[in-house]
Amino acid sequence: MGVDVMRESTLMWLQYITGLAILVLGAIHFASLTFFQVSNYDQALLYGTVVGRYTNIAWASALELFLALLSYHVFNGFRVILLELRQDGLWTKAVNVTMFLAGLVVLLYGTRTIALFMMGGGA
Amino acid sequence: MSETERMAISTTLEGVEKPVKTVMFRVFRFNPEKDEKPYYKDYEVPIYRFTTVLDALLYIKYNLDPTLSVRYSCRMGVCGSCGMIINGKERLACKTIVLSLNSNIVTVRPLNNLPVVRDLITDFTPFFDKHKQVKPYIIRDDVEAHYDREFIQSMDELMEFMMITNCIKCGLCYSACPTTATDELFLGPQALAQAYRYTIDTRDSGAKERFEAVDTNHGVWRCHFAGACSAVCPKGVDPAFAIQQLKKLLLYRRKKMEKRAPAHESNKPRELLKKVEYPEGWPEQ
Amino acid sequence: MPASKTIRNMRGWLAGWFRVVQVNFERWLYALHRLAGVIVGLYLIAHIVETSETLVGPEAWDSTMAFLKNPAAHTGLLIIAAAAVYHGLNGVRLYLAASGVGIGRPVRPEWPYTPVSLTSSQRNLAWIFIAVTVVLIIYAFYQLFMISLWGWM
Repeated sequence: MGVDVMRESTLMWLQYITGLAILVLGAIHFASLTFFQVSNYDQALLYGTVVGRYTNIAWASALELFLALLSYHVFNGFRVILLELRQDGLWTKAVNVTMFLAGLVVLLYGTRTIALFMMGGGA
Repeated sequence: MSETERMAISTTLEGVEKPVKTVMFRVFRFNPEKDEKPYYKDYEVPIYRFTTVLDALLYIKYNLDPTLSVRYSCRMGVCGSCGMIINGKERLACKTIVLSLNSNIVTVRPLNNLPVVRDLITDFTPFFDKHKQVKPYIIRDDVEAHYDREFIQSMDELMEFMMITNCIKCGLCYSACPTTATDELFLGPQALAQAYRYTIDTRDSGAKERFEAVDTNHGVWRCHFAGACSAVCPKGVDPAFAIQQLKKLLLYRRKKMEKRAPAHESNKPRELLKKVEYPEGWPEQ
Repeated sequence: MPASKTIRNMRGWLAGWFRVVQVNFERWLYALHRLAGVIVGLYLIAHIVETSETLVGPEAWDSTMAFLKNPAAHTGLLIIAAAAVYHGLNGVRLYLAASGVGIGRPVRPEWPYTPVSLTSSQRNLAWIFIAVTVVLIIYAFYQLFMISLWGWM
């Protein structure tokens, strides 16, 4: 598994870097939900606004990047918490594998939404 | 001490001759040979102005209940044997004045996260094992070569780790740390602080080995800077600072530290036996 | 020799991670950071499923959004927004600390031994970040409740 072969300091360095990038992208995400290009939260949630962003290349790539960074940061964070919770060898292995796969599933599932819209899919 | 001196002290210092008040000590008791479960037992202890928690526990042992087990040695915050949780906070019993707790009930229990052997005594084996794991000693190839030389180190270089050398291995930080509360493999604040202390020491060249020991699943990265270790440290070691510095070395200076050449030795032999100058009138040795 | 029978005496996650009485300020920040991280992490999973509704069509999306437009759901969103902002900003503080910023310089230990890492600028930074979080919570409340739910604007 990818997570097993990396040094812990590399994983945590990535945790910090993704965290900082998520902070920037998250700020854009919050702005886009409240005042940026929309006038309020309700307007940001209209179907047209949401799909408009999925089909715009800049917005879609920003969202995809946001998703990719988050799926690493979140599931590595869960991994850290779960490793602190129990310590036997099987648990450690199971946590490493499960969190890697869960992150991958979330990444792929979210990417599917964006990719299908970019390819002209959706409704 | 003459009677007038005693009077002088008792008039300037109240609560030295007679007890100030009686305090209820609620002490954690567990005898592995008899008890299934630990329990708390109450003792009334007369408290003088400077009675420490250790004094009170020894009062209990001598006067009320000789079966109470407590580990202590120096009574002055140097040996690190009497660490325990006093009124919910990790403290050294010998350095805690009972009156400073401002409480008529004092609860005393053994340190967290270490196995309890009996009453207030905990088994420090895991703690010392982790201390050994980080190789807390100077590592260099030529350490045996010149027994009569010293390694050159500047005052600034010394100050980088001077603070951490104060550690007395009392285990208070290990008990307070939130990560050790669940992670029994986590090295703990004490061992990680020592890892930093020897890595940053300019006389040392064992950074590579020590980084291997701390850069693991249960090493330095399981510290999340809760600062509990530094808050309870009775010697001003500040493990939280040391661990963050250790992370800094791993993140930014790993290669540089691993390749660093240790401080060279003085070209002048140390004077091994200095002639002692005795004061005038001192008998010849 | 280890004793024949000992008590394990580990604090466990509730009393260990979330011990909040008689502790230093940073320990509160740590507990909140962990709590906020878990909240936001779990929300990410729900959010990915939620946004995939757009693929089904406008009606499905609009009905989901209408279903989620109620005080309970918006309170949840407010908590998630607060958790995300807090976790993000406190994460910056932790990153800076791990880079050796804001934790002071080593001192010669002298009684009464004040730890430098707990009295340095990282603590002020934490207060600034808490203030920013509060301001953004107020803004989120304005958006989620005053505009969206109560229609004041």
